[in-house]
Amino acid sequence: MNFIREFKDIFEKVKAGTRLSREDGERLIRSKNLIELGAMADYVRRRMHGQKAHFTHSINVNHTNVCVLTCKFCAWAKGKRDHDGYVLAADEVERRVREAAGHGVWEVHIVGGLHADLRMDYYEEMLRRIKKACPGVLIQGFTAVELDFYARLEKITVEEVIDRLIAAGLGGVPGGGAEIFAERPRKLICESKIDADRWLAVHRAVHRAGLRSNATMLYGHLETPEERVDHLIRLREAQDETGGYLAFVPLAFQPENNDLSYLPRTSGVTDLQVLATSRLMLDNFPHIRQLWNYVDEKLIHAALDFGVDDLGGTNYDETIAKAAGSQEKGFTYDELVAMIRACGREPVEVNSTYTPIRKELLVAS
Amino acid sequence: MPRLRLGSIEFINSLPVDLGLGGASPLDAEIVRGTPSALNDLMLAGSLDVSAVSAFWFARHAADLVLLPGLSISSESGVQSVLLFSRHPWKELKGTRITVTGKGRTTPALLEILCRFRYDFTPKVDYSPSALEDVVKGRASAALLIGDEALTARRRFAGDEALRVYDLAEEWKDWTGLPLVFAVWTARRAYFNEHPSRVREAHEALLVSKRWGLENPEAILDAAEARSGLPRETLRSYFSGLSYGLGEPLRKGMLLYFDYAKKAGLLDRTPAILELPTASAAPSPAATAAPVAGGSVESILAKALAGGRVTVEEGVKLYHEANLFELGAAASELCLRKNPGSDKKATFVVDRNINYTNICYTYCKFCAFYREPGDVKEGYLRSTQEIFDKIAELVAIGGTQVLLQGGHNPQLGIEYYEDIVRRIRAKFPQVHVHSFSASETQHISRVSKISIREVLERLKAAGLNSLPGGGAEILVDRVRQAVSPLKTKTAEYFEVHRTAHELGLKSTSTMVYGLGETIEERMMHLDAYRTQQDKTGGFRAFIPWSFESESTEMKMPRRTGSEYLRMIALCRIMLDNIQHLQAGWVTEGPKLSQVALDFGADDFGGILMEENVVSATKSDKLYAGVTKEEAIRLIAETGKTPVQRNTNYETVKVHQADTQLVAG
Repeated sequence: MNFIREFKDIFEKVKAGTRLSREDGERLIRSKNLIELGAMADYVRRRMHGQKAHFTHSINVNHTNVCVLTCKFCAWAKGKRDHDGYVLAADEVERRVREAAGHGVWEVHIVGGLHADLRMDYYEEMLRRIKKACPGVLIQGFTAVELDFYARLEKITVEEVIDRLIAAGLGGVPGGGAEIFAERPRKLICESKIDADRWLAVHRAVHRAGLRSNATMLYGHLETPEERVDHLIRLREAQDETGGYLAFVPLAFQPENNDLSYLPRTSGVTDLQVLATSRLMLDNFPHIRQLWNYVDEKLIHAALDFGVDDLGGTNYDETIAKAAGSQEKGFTYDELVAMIRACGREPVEVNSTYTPIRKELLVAS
Repeated sequence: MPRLRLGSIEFINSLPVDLGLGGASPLDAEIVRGTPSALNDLMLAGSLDVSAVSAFWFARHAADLVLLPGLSISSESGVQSVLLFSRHPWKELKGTRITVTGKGRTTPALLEILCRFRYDFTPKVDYSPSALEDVVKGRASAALLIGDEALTARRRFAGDEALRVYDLAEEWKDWTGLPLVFAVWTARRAYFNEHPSRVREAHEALLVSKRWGLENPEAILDAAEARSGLPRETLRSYFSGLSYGLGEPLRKGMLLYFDYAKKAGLLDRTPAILELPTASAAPSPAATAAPVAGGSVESILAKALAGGRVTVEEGVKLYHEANLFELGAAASELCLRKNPGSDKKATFVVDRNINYTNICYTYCKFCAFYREPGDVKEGYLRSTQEIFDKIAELVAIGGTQVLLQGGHNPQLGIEYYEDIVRRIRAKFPQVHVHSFSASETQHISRVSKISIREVLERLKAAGLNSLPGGGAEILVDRVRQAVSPLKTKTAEYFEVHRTAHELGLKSTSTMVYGLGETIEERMMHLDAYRTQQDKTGGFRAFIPWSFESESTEMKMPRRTGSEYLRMIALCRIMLDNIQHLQAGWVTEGPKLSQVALDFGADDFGGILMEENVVSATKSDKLYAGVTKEEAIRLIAETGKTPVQRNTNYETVKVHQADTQLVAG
């Protein structure tokens, strides 16, 4: 690694396990020196995970696309009166999960719009039905934004929302809705969404209730490189407090069919720069995840060299990224395994809590 | 362990060796700058470990030093910076006072040698810090000046008839017929015995830096201009008289100089020189620890960076064992040296592929494009008008290159090709016809029963500008036999390119990997190109692709993006004699091709306004063509300046990207 020159000082810290400062992060994120960034992130990834690359075999359930919010980057949400708005009934959700579980899927990822007519009983019923049909399936569902919305709708605390959903079968919380924490760009892209402090507070509550969660960052829109680093540092501090985060999931902004379509797609250089910087800054996050549906397939392979140890789920039925122009067509289970092997990594199938599940328990007889 | 202390001559004549240190050539060392005589003294005092020193001083202290091969500051003829400013013809200086500054040891010794053995008198030499002023004020009849001071003085007294200027290196050359070595690089023997590998490291870094310096003359001139304030043309002429190696006849000149110095009583004995063993020569502790043949990844890469050629076996070892980033770092360094400025810009060409026919009787298994002769439904031959229309569209967007590419249609002989080239060149003189791969050339030769040479001669006469490198796939006959038994064999492929080069037609070189070949066969492919390039030098660029197998008869696993970056880097490292390396977005996608620009590629290839052959694989993993604007944006997003080039790699337009739209 004697070719590391620009970041020699930072690499010394990395090797010693010393926490990188905000200034370090800003240097990293502003640098176009992909070779050194990648080499350092890869070093850390190897130290943490060796050759393992994690993935989950999962189904996405987007129970409704009706949403009261008007985030500018969203090409998926509909208003209540739009003819193409939908709400999935519990029966339909159960049918889809049962079918997927029959194909070996062991995780359900539930994310939907903020629909003012859907109340807690709808969600509790959905979870109970899934758990009854497929007891071994892990349900990871409801972003902090959704949890906060239910609490306000029901006029109860978010803690109570979380407790009730756990009682109904919730096993983990996804990292969506974090977007970008910094107030300036956040106001520009999703003014009506909960702010950074609230998002972090909901996750704190999730962790205190005993569940683990993930955290995302939407980049490549109106944020500055420094604001990306700020996002990472807020997450690192939150993780110091609760230790409840498992994966960090950077999401490349997809510029089609939304109010920010005048922006270009992120470059491959930016994608890898963000991944590598995340791996280096987030010293207390176990996993860095690259979702396949946000970048070119060949870049995913490269992402595994830039700090990524997790490729997320097979996620069939995913609709949100597709609506914003994601051109990636997705993988079957076998394709994902073959791809990880082709990249020289050892595929390790996990669920979102990174624990193996006994497959025979998946579907109730 | 304390850092190595490296002495560096502060004169501009040392820049070609030194300037790259720390930048183009990394070295962990404390660099001390000084005049040659100051450095000599510091070495003697043990305050430096490795340093440039006066050649004469080296001869005096050879017993305590190790000579670093391949490095010197020498003059093949006149040097312009070792000058005797004299009020009299040299012969008449006998008995008069000659002043010299105390800045070096080699040249005063040389002055003495010339006076004694060429002009037959023993000079009266005094050291004086103001040697030139002594002459101007009449306190001395001649002054010996060296380095930047001499260069400046020559300009100052350019019109002064009364002052004769003798160039000592010219004098020496006239007299002995040999070049003159002023300075050499040495290590203290005591230091070398303790830290042989660090000396070797420093030596390698100096060689790398020198190579960079020689390849980047403009950078050297910039630095020299800034340091000396002399006009660029003066400097250019100055540097053109200097050489920096230590092979024959420089060494011979140095030894003869030592002989005369001994005769003059300036040296006690003829020096016994110990030279740092080069990796391939006599064993030293470091050399035996890392023999090059089975060398470590580090030593192979160090060799490549020092300008050495990486063998097929070493290439295989790098593929399997090197860290991706280690490879990338070496490759981007080599790319930068081959293409100065490639860290800040990337080139692309606005071109169009025109498939004039899809009828082909070669039946390659990896091809989804061809139709058999007699296929009246899907087989086609484009009319001249259709071809013209397509070129007109290309010209309309500022395009400069057309690539005619077609099947081996048994109906088409040399007359068809001559005619189409001639008509395109007549109608679109601004368009560069970069057309007809080796297999098409061979096909024409067969159909028309004329030699390859005649085919190419006639096409060139018709106006063909250059040849694309397509059809190479993997140039190892075992692989070709397996995937395209009827297609051009390796020797035939090279016959076409060799002949083209001999006729003055440039061409490009390519590779399609992932056809079931071994890694060794990939390296053999690169080596084959390299060997041909040594002989004829006509390959401008190399373009590797990974194989897309859908809709073809061959089902092969898709190659990964990670492997592509590794291959790009390895191609750059192996192909030491091909200047350009293209990143391809057709099979790798725009995002990965952007990244490839950091792993050794300097060029983004063409926008391929129309591409039918790879697209015919109907792979849903392929990427739609990029427009000119997209190509500009994709390059700009990497932080590099997009530069539109023509087929000759000359700049057509430097584009300024709209950075507002670049997401950082």
